[in-house]
Amino acid sequence: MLKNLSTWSIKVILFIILFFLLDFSISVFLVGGLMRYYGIGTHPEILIIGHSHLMLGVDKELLENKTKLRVAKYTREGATIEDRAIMIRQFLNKDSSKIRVIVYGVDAWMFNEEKLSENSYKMLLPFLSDTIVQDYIKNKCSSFEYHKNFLIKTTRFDELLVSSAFRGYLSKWTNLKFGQVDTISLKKDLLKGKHESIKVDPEKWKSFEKTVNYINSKNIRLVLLYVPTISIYNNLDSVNFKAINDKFVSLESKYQYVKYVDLNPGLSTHYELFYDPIHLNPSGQKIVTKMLSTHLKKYCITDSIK
Amino acid sequence: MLFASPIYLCFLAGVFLAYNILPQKWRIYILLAASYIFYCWLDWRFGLILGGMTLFNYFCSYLMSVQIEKASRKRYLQLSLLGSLLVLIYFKYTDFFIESCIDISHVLDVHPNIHLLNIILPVGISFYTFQVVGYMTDVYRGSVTHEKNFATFALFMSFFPQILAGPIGRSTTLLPQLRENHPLDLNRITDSGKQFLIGMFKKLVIADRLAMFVDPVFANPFSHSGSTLAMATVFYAFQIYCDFSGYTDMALASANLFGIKLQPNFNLPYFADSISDFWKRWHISLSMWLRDYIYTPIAWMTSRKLPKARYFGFKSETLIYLTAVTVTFSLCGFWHGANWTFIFWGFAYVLLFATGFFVNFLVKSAGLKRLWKKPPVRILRILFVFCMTSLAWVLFRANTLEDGLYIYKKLFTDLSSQMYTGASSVSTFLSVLLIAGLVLYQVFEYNGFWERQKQNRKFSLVFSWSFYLFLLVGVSLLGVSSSRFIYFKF
Repeated sequence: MLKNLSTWSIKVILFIILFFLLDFSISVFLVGGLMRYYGIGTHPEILIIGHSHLMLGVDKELLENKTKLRVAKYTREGATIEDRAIMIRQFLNKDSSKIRVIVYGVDAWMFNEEKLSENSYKMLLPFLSDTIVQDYIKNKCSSFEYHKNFLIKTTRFDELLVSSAFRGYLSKWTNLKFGQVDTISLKKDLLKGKHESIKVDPEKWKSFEKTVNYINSKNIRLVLLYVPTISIYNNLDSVNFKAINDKFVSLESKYQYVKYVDLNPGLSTHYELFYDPIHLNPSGQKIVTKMLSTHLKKYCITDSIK
Repeated sequence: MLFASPIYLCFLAGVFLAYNILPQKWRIYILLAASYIFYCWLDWRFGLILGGMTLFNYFCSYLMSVQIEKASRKRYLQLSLLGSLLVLIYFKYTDFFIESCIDISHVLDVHPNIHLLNIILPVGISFYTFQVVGYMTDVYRGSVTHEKNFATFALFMSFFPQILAGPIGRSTTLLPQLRENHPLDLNRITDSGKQFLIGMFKKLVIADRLAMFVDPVFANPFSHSGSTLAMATVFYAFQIYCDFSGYTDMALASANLFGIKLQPNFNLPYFADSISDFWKRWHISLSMWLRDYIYTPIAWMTSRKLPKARYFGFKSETLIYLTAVTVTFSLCGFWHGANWTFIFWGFAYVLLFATGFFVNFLVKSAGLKRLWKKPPVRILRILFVFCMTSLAWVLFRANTLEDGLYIYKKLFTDLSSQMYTGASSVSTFLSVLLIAGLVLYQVFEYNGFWERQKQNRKFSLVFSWSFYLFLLVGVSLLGVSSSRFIYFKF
């Protein structure tokens, strides 16, 4: 029995060691792919930060071609203001030497995060070894979940992150959603009240301004980019929509290196550019990227503060 | 406490340690206490219902065992069945009956002042009721004797690996195992670990991922195209299989850890070449229960009422078969849930069985029996049976009968329309890959490839380690946060 027990124990231990080796190798491989995909450690001059709105709004490769500058696009679906603050700190902590501009996606609904996932922090799990991310996640999840993710590295990923890692190795940065928004159904849905309201959670605004202040203190230009949202949607609550826009504009005068670029005028009524009320389709993405490159050239690149 | 959750794994490890460390005479009490803790974890009131049912049936069984006359024994059997089934009917079907009454009264333009009672269904009640009904019938028939030890009987009713969704235990096989002493066996631990891992992979990686596509489509079928509904139908066929067989694997593995072998519930069901073959491979413990306690008695009773060789031009055997199948599958549908969708799902199988019966008759009459068994025809039959069972699953999954009928309509009229690729197209693509992988693995299993490879020790060792490492990494990398098992609601 004892001999059997020792052979059995050796086999179990060997299996566990093999699992952890495999777990470690896979996670190293995937983190490497993600770093390439997001451009972390690639010494970019332009950093794009936002959620899916900006992800589908800007084409990284086209922007690089137009500006002749290296671009990192660190955008994730559902990233909240808090997540984005951590993403910026994580990025700058690792690689801030050449960054001249940060493009930060803004919209009228960003201070009302009811529809965004409460566990959006999970998208940052692959970077758990980064101290900034580590502190953030420690506060966000349960102790069990934290230690599970700490111990078994592959649990930090999901299929989207795995796919992004592979895209990083394949240098495939396209984010496209084909099709056009069905405005008739959209109007019906809006009439039924199927939409988010525009409101500003003071805590969220404070957190956002803290990020603006942080970037400003690093002497890096900040472009607050409003990728257009469809006018039918914007006009639902035009008073609050304008109020938020005014708040963004006010930041320009408050902070030295902040520029607010609102691409709604002229584009939000072109329904053919939208995949859904918020996200652009490839045609919309192309136009917005070109317009952004013009703005970047005009405001930031020629007028470098670094 | 779900099987695939860390808390269950800790619980299982704790019970396993206590079971092997503490004196042997305590083992039955350890398992009994663990079973009640496990069950009361969901809701302590469920434990009271289970305890009440256990006491009631124990005394009925005792009283039956001390009777010599058959008529008196039958009285106690009837009392036990009535009591157990009334509890099941109250918890499972009261609201359904009230709702149906309200619907009918609306049609008749009558508005009675009746309301739903919103009764919470104790998880697993259908399973342990069937289990105890089987036991009482076996005691009555004399297949087993009354279990004198109350703790053993209580454990038979509440054994934690099987209480929530089976497999439905049989007194003839489960009770003797509960009485036996099972010394620690290292190979058994390894086997249990492997089977548990397979179950986790099926549940967390395949079933829960497929649910991400299936749930929103079935929640609102009217806003989806025919091709999307077809995809969701196929996905659901695999989701329910992986969900339930994954659960069963984990249940079997947990029981095996204590040396108790529960009945396997699945045997490659989607490789069935006829509807009757499908039910020999799908939810086997339920099929066998229905066969022994519903189908056979009904067939026997019908045969006594049909003494002539032919009725209306049909052989009496045909009528006996069709009557027994109709009653069995109507009950099977109703057992699955208090909803018209389940009842119609049961009727769908009555139709499929009847069709299968007549097709077999035609094949025999036309002398095509040899052709019928040839491999290409068999493959076609397997595909046909898969399509039929998948179509039947639509009724099983649809929220209402109206939804189900709409899906059928779209499946046959709107297949060329644009397909929705899910909230995450990556996840949907991965789902397709996983289904393809599962089918490929099972094709090899069906052909006995894996069994043959076990003879080759070198291959077996390398393959086995790689396979289980793959499963473990798969669970940790691609496992979706576990949700409740589909069969818990029955």
